[in-house]
Amino acid sequence: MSAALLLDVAAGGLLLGGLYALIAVGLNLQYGLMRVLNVAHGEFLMIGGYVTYLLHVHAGVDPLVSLVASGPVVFAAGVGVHAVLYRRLLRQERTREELEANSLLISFGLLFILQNGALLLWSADLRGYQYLDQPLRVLGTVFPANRVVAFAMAAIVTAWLLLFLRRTLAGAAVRALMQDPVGARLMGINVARVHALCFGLGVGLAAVSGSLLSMLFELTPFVGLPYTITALVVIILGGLGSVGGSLVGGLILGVVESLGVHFTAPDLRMVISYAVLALVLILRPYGLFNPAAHRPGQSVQA
Amino acid sequence: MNGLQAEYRDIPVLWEVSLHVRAGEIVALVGSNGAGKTTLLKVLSGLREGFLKVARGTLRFGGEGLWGLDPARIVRRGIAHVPEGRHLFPGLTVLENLRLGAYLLASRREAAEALERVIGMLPLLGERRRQLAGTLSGGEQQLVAIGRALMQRPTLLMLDEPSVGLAPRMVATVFELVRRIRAGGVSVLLVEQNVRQALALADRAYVLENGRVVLEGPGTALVEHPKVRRAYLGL
Amino acid sequence: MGTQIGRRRFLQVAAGSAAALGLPRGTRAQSPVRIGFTLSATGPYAVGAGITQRPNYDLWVEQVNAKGGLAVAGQGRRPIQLVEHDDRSEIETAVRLYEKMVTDDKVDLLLPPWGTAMNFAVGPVASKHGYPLIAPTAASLKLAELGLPSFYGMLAQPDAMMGALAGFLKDVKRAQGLNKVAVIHVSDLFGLEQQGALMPLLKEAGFEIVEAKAYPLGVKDLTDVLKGIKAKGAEVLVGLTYPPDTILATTQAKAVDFNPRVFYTSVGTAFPFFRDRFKESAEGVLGMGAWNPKVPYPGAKAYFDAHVAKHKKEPDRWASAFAYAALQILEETVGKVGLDRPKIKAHLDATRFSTVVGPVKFTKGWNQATPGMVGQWQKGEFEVIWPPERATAKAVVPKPAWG
Repeated sequence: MSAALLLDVAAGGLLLGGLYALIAVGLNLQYGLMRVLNVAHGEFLMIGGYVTYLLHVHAGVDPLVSLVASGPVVFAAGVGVHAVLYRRLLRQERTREELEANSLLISFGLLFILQNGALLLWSADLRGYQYLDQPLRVLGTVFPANRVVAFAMAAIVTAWLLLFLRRTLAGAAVRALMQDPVGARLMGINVARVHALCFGLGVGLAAVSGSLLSMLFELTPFVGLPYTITALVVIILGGLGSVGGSLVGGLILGVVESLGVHFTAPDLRMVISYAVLALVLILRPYGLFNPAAHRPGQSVQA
Repeated sequence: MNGLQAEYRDIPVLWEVSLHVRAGEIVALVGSNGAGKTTLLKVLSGLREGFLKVARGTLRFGGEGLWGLDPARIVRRGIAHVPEGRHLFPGLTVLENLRLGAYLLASRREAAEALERVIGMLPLLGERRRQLAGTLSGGEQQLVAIGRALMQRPTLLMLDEPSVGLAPRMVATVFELVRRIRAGGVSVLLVEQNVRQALALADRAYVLENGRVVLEGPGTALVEHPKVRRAYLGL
Repeated sequence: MGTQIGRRRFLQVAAGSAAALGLPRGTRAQSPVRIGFTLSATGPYAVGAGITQRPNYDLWVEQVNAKGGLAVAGQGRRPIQLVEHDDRSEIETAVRLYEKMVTDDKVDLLLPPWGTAMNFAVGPVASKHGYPLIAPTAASLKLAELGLPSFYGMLAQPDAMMGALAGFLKDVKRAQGLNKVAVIHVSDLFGLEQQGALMPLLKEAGFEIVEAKAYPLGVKDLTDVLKGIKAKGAEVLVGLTYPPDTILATTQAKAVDFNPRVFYTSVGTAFPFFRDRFKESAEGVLGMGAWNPKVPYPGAKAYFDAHVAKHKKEPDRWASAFAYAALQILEETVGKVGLDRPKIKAHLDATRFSTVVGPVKFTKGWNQATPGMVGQWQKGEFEVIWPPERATAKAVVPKPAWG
């Protein structure tokens, strides 16, 4: 086994890891903030993918340009879904356990509705298109051009998100609400509005990821769930509520999966993910980057 | 407030409580643990989470009812609350914590002015502006919490146990700060277990026991009251 | 992942479709022949089921009802009513539903679900109750070993199918000196059996196996595997794949610039979707099984045209035609002997049928008249290139560069 091939495989994993990270950041925005575990996260990804596919195939829109549509459209849809499904639930805010359980039920329902809706609209046929699928030669090895482009876009969107969270007052309000809901309410931060914003942002990021993934993989109405599971592994890996943790966690998972699969078999991909997760949970129960490990009861750091 | 009654899981925790704070006054609220002091402040700031609800009574501030308002509206009316445990944002910088205090201020300019004023009052916060709030000492965090509340430009500042867990020198700093805040025209409602110092500072005070007001009067008078001496000053 | 909602919707569609088919007057009085089946409308099998079986079931029912119904010996024509369910790609669900269709719904006939593993599971249920099941998408020696009395398989079995592939590869080895082979397979019953049949044949023929890897159903990524195979200098890639992974392997081979001289993938290669998706890049890709409208069997072209007319899309170039042929066989049999199931079985066992896929003759329940075949995309058509006596075109090797 040559070192070059090893590096090659690791770099391939890194490229995919960038997308995992983007998907996970979206999920974490919802979970870290509201304790709403949205198992339908991947379905929004699927919808983003279909939006891009339809725009590209029927209207000739460049998939990269279509991000400008899929992201905001799904963001708006997410804000709407939040208003209809979650607002009342969050307002009642009894115990955290009750909230988590009820929101889980809601999102399962959402998953079924979106999946079946997509099935009715678009059937179970595979959908895909060719986009930048020629090989790109970098430093003597070969990468699929579309993956490199998808990774770059994921990096740009993530950087944009970080800027939003770090440099704007609204972003600071999101982080404040994640870190101390009581303090945030005393500052007059409108909790319901920030929740809606984050839910929309989260699923909007999923949709952008889906748009990017549609350049690489075929779509069916059922592509979402495996990504939700991957994202869940990533956010537990990186720490609940930690955006930075999700980024690093996604990249790590991508690389470990790729190397693991290379040395064993693709059959074991999920096993490898879970093994990494189990290991991290044993060594660092609060995730790799969650300072809550030192300060129980609070999740910190955006 | 008048005849206020509040319940938690349908069990009354405040009984017919009536108290008032006049403009420019420091009012202390003392009492043992579980007397209902913190609950009272939460009712005032609209922080009625979980099973806490107000059963009856009237709440008025500056001639307007506060009944059923959410915290954002109450902040807009000019009531700022520094809660027990401070509830800072530990992963945010001191500056970000302060900026969030001015979350509801309409313009950037107003927020910048408020920041300038608060840092002028608390120069330490200016020095520590880039530091994460969670890395400060307890006393420094208390100052950030008060500074953050002042960013809201309140007319009434409510402080819940600001001296708890602080070194004596820091307690003195905090109490001195309260005096300066009042000098700036802000009324203060101070909840304290540090009864002696609180009463010395306050213009008037209330003693709360088991959810009822049992004594009220000027701070200096209450210090001399036998019941207070026995129960809270250990004399 | 499937759903309750999915199934309920499916039932409504089923109920609606019978009415919507617009049965001619006069047949209304006749009670319908009720035919039950499940197909995966959701989950990993949904793609294959939705391309290969579903459109043919619908086409056939429409054609038969347009003629006034299914001719039942001694009873005249009776309209067909479908009793259908979504098995959600879950084997237990399918088994439960077939059991229910037999015991509760008391359907007259059963049609098979999609895929080897599904048929393996529901075959015994149908046979237990004596229902004949003529399966166009099942290829398994293990299934054959069960010796189910009323299960009939249309496709060439793994040994025959892999025999054809090995025969073709040997021919190429002789002519062009190809030697290094990599094999990947999906780890469900289909992939395991095909792989089990292929490996000994390759070794026997003296090929060097540079890589043999399994991957799971619903795999998301194969680039790492393909990069490894490329690094090992494979000249032949054999993918024993299901539709989503067929597309995945092809996309990703192209993307990592892996262009072996022989590129073979399995189920899904013959789908028109494959050609439309890859355009020039499809050129020269080889696939499992083959059928195209140029084959010289009666009704083949008419079937192709009817499928295009009804569904506005072409049938796939392998098992679709076998799915339709299975229905032709069922129709002919019921016309001859009626709905008595032992008589149907006797007729199926004894008769040599003529269908759109050519002659079909079941021996011990398996169609021995159709050999294993290899197809290849050439200029927009999936040509039969092996065995030579069935070929509609000559093979193109080496495969041209990815378009």
